[in-house]
Formats: sequence, C-alpha cells, structure tokens
Amino acid sequence: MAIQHMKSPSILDREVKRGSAEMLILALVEERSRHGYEIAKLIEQRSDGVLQFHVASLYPLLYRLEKRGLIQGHWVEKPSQRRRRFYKLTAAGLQILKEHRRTWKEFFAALDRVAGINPA
Amino acid sequence: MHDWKNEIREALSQLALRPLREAEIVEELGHHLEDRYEDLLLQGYTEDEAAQKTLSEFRQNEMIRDLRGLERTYREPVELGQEPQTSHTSGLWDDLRYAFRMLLSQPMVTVVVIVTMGLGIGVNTAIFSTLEMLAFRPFDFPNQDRLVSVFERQPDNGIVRGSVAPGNFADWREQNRTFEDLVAIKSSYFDLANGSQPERLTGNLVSTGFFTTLGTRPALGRTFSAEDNEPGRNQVVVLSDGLWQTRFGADPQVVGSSVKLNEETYTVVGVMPKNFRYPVDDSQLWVPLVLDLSDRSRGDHNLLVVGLPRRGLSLAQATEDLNRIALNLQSEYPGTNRGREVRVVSLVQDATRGVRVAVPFMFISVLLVLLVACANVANILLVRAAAGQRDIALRLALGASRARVMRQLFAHNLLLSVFGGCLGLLLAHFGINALKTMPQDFSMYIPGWSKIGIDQTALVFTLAVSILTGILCGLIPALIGTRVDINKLLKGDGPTVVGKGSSRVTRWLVISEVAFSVILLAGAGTVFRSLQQLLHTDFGFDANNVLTMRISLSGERYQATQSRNNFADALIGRVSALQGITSVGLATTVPLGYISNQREVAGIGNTVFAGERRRSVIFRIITLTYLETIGTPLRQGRAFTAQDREDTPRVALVNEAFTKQFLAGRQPIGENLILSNGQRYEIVGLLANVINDGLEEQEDAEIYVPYAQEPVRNIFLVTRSDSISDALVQAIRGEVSAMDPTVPVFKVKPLQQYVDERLSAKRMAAYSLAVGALIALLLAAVGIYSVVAYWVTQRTHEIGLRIALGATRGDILKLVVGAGLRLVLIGGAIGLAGALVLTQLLSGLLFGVSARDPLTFAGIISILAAVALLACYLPARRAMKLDPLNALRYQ
Repeated sequence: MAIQHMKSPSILDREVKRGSAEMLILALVEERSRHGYEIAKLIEQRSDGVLQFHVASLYPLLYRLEKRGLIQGHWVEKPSQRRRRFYKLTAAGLQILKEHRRTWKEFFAALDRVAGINPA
Repeated sequence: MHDWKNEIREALSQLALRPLREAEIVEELGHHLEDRYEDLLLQGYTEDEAAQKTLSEFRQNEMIRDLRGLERTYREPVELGQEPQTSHTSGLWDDLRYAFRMLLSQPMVTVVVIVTMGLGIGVNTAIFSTLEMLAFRPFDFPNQDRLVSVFERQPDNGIVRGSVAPGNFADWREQNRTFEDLVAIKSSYFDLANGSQPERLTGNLVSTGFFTTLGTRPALGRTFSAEDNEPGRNQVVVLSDGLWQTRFGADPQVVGSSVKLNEETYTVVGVMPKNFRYPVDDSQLWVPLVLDLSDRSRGDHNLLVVGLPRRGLSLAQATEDLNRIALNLQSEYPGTNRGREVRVVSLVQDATRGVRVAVPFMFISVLLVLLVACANVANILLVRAAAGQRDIALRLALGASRARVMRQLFAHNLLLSVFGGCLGLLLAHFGINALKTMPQDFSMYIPGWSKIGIDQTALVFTLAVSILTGILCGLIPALIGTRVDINKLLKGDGPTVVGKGSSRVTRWLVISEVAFSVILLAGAGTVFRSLQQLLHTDFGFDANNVLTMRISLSGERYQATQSRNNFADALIGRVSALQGITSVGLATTVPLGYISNQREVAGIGNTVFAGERRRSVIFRIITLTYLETIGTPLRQGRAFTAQDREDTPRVALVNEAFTKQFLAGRQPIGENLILSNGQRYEIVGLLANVINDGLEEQEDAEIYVPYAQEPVRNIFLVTRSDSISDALVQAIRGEVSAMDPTVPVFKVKPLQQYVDERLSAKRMAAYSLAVGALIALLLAAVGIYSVVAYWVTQRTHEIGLRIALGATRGDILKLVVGAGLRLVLIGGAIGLAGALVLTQLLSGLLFGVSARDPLTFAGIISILAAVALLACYLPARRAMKLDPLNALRYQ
C-alpha cells in the first residue's frame, strides 16, 4: 500500500482516507491505552515513514472518534511526569474495528484478484 | 524554548470554545508539539530547524477547519460552574431546581423569608380586598361606577343629602339634558300577612326604569315594565333572594303567585339575584312607585334619587344641568323651593362615605407593611448572600458567568416570593374570614360588607406584589452578591469583602424598617386613643343596656289620637312590669337611630324670623319617662308631667344648642316657640345636648314635646334593663302581641349598637393600622435580629480577641446591644418625625386627642425599645458565650 495519508490526497477519496486513518488509530489503541503523540509516532514507525499523522489531522480525528464513542480519553497523571491524555478502545470501537478489518480484507482480496496485488 | 501553547491558544481563539475545553486541547496539543520538537532535536535537527518543522506540521488552518465542525456540537457532562449549551427554558428549569435545593439547604432562612413575605402579602391582600369591596365596589350591579345619587341641597341649613320632593323629581326627570335616566326610590315597610302574625318587611317603592338604570337583571321572572308604574296596575312585587329563600322556600314557581302586602294583593313577577341589595342591605322587596305627577307635591321630601348620566359627561355638568332646573323651580315655587339646590355625587362615593375616611389609613398601613416586609426580605437575603459569597466566588472561578450566577440568585428569590405569595394568599383568606366574624357585625351598616372576599383584582395585585417583591428584593443582593473579588475570597480573606457595601445597605434597611414601624405604631396608637376618648365622651345619653325597637300603630284602630295614647300608656305599664326592666319610654326618634324628624322654627316669643333666619331643628316627641330611660340630663326647669295633656297648653323642652342658636344663650324657660306650621309651645325645660348623627357633632338644636300632646303612629320603644337578652326581647314582643297581635315590632337593636356603627370607620382604620403596626414591628424585630446576628458573626474573631484580652460579659453585651440600638435610635428618630406628619394627616379622624399625643408617643418609644432590646439581646447572648479559643480560630 502506498498511501501517504496527507501528502497524496488525489489517489483515494476522502472517505477511504478517513476510513483507513480511523482503522489505524482504533487498531493502535486496541492493544492498550495510548496518548496522541504515541499514536502518531507508532503510525509513522510501523509504516516506515510512509504514513504520517500530524497534529492538525490527528487530534480532530481523535476527538471525533471520542465523540462517536469509539474511543475514550482520560487524563493520566504519573509521578514526575506531566499529565497526558490517554485514549482507549471502547466496546463500540472494537465492533467498528472488526468491521473495518473485514472491509479492508475484502477490498485487498478483490484488488489481488484483479491486479495481483498481494497485501502481504 | 518555544511557547507552543501560546500558538495553539491563538489558533483556537477563533473557535471561541468554552474555557475548560480550550484549556484541555491546549494542554494536549502542547504536549504533542513539545514531544515532536524534542524528537526532532534527537534526530539531529538544530533548535531552529526543529521549531520550524514542528510549526510547519502544526498547520493550524486545517486543524481549525476540522475542529470547527466538531467542537460546535461537542457536548460534555455539566460541571459545576460550566455553562451547558441548553435552551433558555431548560436553563431556567435548572436554575429553579438549583434554587429549590438552596432553599432546602437553609431551612431557617427560607422559613423566615417566606413567613415575612407571607405576612406582608397576606395583610396586603386582606386589606386591599376589603378596601376594594367597601370603598370602590360595594354593590353587585354593573352600572355602579356610572351611577350618581342626586340630593336636594340647602346650603342655608347645612343640609347636603336632602331627600327629594316628588314634584321636583318629576321636573328634573322631564327637563334634564344630561341623564339617560333618573329614578326615584322610596323606602317603606310592608306587612306581609302570614296567618294572624304580620311580618314587617323592608321594602322599596321604585319608579319606572329602576332595575334597568342599575343594569341588573332578575334571577327569576321579570322586573317592572313601564305599565307597572301606572296607577291601578302597580300591584306587582319583585322579591329579594333572601325573602324568596326564607318565606317562599326557594320555590321556582313563585312567579305569578299572589301575596298579601299591607292587606292588598300583589302578584310576584320576579326574584332578584342573591347579592342584589339596593338601596339598603336588608331590602326584601320592590314594588312600583306610582308618582301622581299632576299633583307635583313639593312639600314632602321623601325620595331617594339615582341617575345614570349620559356617557362622557362629568358630575359637574350633570350638577349644573339639574341646578339650572332647580333655579327655575326656586323662582316658580318660592314657598317650597326657596334655597333648594341640587347636589350630584357618585353613588359609590355616597354609599361608602362612612368608610372612606378610613381608606387613606388603610392604604398607608398596606404600603408601610409592604415596605417593611420588602426591606426585611432584602435584608435577610443580603445577609445570606454575604454569607454565601465564597460559594459564589468558587462558581465564578470555575467559569460560571456573572449573568448566570445572578440568574440563579434571582431564581432563588423568585421561588421564595412565589412561596411567600402562596402563603400570603392563605393568610389573606383566613384574615378575611376573621374580619367577617368580628364581634361588631359591620354588614348591617357598611354596604358591601357581606360580600367581602378575596377578589380577582386582589389576587392579581398579590401576585404582582409577590413577583415584584422577588425582583426588587432579589436585585440588590444579587448585584452586591456577585460583586466579589474572587482571588481574595478564595484565599480566605474572610467574609468581609462584600460586607462593607452590603452591611451599609442592611443597616439602612433596618433603620427604614424601624422608621416605618414607628410611623404605623404612632398612627394606630393615636387612632386607638381617639377611639377611647370618643367612647368616654358624654353623648348626652347612656347607651349601656338600653334596648330600642320600632312599633307601628297602623290601621283604623289607631285613627283616634286617644287610642294611641291609651296604647302607649298601657304598653309602658306592661313592659315596666317585666323582670329586669328599670325604665321604659317612647320616642319618635332615638339618637343615632338613622331616622330624623325635623321642624322649622319660625320664631321665638314675639320675634318672627324672616325667611332666611328660619332653621330646621330636630323635633322629638317623647313620653314622660323617655329622658330617664335614655339618660339625658335635665339642666333647668322641669320635665314633662302627666299634667301635660292633649287639652292643656303645648309645652316643649329645648337643648343647650337650641338656646345658643336661637336665644343667643338667653334663659329659655318661659319663652314661646313658634314653628313654621304655626304651632306654639311654651319652653318649660332645658336639656343637655345629645349626639344625633356623627359622634363628634354635638351641636344639633333640638325640641322635645310630650307624646300625650302629639301622639303619632310610628314610635321607638326604649327600655333600660339590668341586661339585654333574647329572652327580654321575646318578653317585650309577647307584651305587644298580647295587647294587639297586628302591631309589628321591628328593628330591635341595642342603643350601643347604633354607637358602634358610627364608630365602624374609625374602628376599621384603627384595626388596619394596628394589625399593620404589629406585623411591621414583628418584622422589624426580625430585621434587627438578623443584622445584629450577622454583625456578631462578622466580628466573632474580634469578640474572641476582646474576651481573651479580658473583656467581661457585660462589655460584650454593651458592644453588641450598642451596635443594634444605634440603628434603632436612628430609625426611631426618623420614624417619629414621619409619625408626626402622619398623625397630622389623621387629625380628621381624631377626636379628643392631639395629633402629637404625648402618651401615644411615649408608649411607642417604650414598645420599640423593648422589642429592639430583645432582638439585640439574643445575638449578644451568643457572643457572650463565645469560647475565645474557638473564636480566634474562626475565619
């Protein structure tokens, strides 16, 4: 997959982009609660710098997901650290994540069958 | 280092987020940019490059665009001090719920405020309802506000409410240009045949258009048509609701039936509604008045005239119009109409003239009580607001807007006033019921008394007062309560931050409460003293245990004057023999008895007065024992004796006012008195003056003549006994009935009751001022208490310090009571000044008491001092008991 999220807006339409970005965030907070910077950094690291999330796009998305009840933010204070807002996946978020995964799997399978793209 | 948060805050500012939300986003995004910047430094960027790159990635326009769609509809759980994005109505609902919780959290304050308002509003509504009914809408017919009473006026004789002669009425009616209609009423008694026992009813003969002029309709059947007032067709009657209920069993078939009135047969054509009681409260029936207009009699003045002026015309215009006719009549009939003018006065005003003197005082009472109640409520709320400042400060600090806090305080006060209003209505209801069951039954002589109740106007008035009070009382505390220095308060700089402004206001509120109470106390005290004086004046008779009743010797049987004399002698003999009776007499009129008989004095001795010197005086025909029975003292000469008979020379007694008026104070005995009808009398004795109408007027000239020489048919039987009881009345009725069962006995009334009736307006003024004064005093005491108690709370620290430094309990008592008494002294001084003005205004209502009655004022000062001391002592006692250690720790 060669989608550079914010840098090449013309390849896929907004919905696909947003859908993929949503899935990435949900997937990352599925394992454990993470704060915004950690989420951005993990996306960049795990995609080898191909996918990037900056402040301007990440946080509106986080707030929207929170508002839809898919993730839940909470402030965490740890000794000798500044407090941070961590996001965790909610039950509703888990449902949506599963849905996203299934859709994307079907999509890639279809691409593979047509154009021989192997997502692996 | 770069201030990322500032960048973010600036970017977010265009979204105008709620402060708490903005702070959260700034913090979260700030951390993000900080982390990014540090990562870039680790990756080998220079500080400048790292900052540049971080900022370039921030792309605020993009973010703001995304957030704009998101945050606008963003909802958060309401936190203390947060403004939820809700509609106005749900905001109000929240405020009211919050206010309700606040009320419950301070039950004492709540109860005191509600009771204060309830008393204020209750008293107001009760007095206002009473006033409305008594002074402004005493009748129950639609046209009462437009109708006028028309009287003959004789300026020379000082007569302003003279009855009208039929001839004059007929001319006014025909020649006027200003009235839609003029009607005449002639009250008369009717004997309703009921087996052998006649029942005497109060009836009225009314001219054509009486009912339509009043604008009233019958409850059953019809009223009179023009034909009913024609001779020979006038044997029809309209019944009152009361008579219909008691004598006809509320039979709906009564219309069309026949009744025997004065031994003639009448057909019942209608029944009036329940509250129709015109012209007198005990009117029982109405029959058509047939005026023989060909006669145009002008000598006999016996009509009450009521008119409905055309719309848009003033009383002055109507008066002018009728006087134009009267002037013509004066020149046309000098014999009967000399000096007779016309007076037109509003019907309601005339009917309520007895009560009206009390009206301004009732209003003053209402107003002052309301002011005191408002001051008190504002006071308590203000003290409470001062105590609740820290709470307000906290909410302001958490982001609640000043408007929001104001609104909540306002809702709180509004809720209080609504509760206060409800309690007030309840109190008014009970108050009016209590008024109605007062020992003196005013219903007989105050029109409208019987229908007093909370009326709709009073209800609206109460609600308006209640809500306005809430707004007014809520405004000051809310304004001061929110003017809070948040930082100082949160730092715990004590509760005096607002205290300086508000305690000045509370002090002045207490001062004004005290002042208003003093004014009311002075008013009530002076009027009460005046009443007391009146009751102890020499009326010229002694009303104690004197019973009066009317007796009428009608019919053929008493045609001969001798038969009347025989009846009178026998009656006196029989009644005197009854157990408990000490004296019995007969007279044509009794003092204050509402019936006046006057004759014109034409001359004394050889002097015959010219027309304008002739004066009408009260003419009373009495039996030998009357003076002894009623207790009027003989000053000179002799009383009547059994030798003064029909066949002996006519004799008369006169009173002191008579000698002053006609004899210039000369010795009257032996003088000859000539009346206009040519009758001559020799004056044989001088009597003390007697009050006849108003209690204050004792200058009526009077002539008394013996019944034996002028026996008339209609008389008062007057008895003095050990006590007055129903059994006595029954026994007297029994004696009359035994002599002649067809002679009716009616208007049985103790003489004292006539006196009480004349006092009613003064009593009403006194009662309303007294009730007002008591409540004002009570409220002022609560006000003094709350301010002094608050003062003690504020100075707990200081008092503790004083005690620790060796102040004795006496010192503390002096300190606290002194603080309270200072306010009372200032308020008292202002109040006394105001009271002097009020009592000066009252002087028209005063009798025998100076407007600056020292006894009253001394009384007020001692009452006030006692109440104020008590109100100050309670908080002072608390201060004295303070434990200095705790007090010093007190913040």
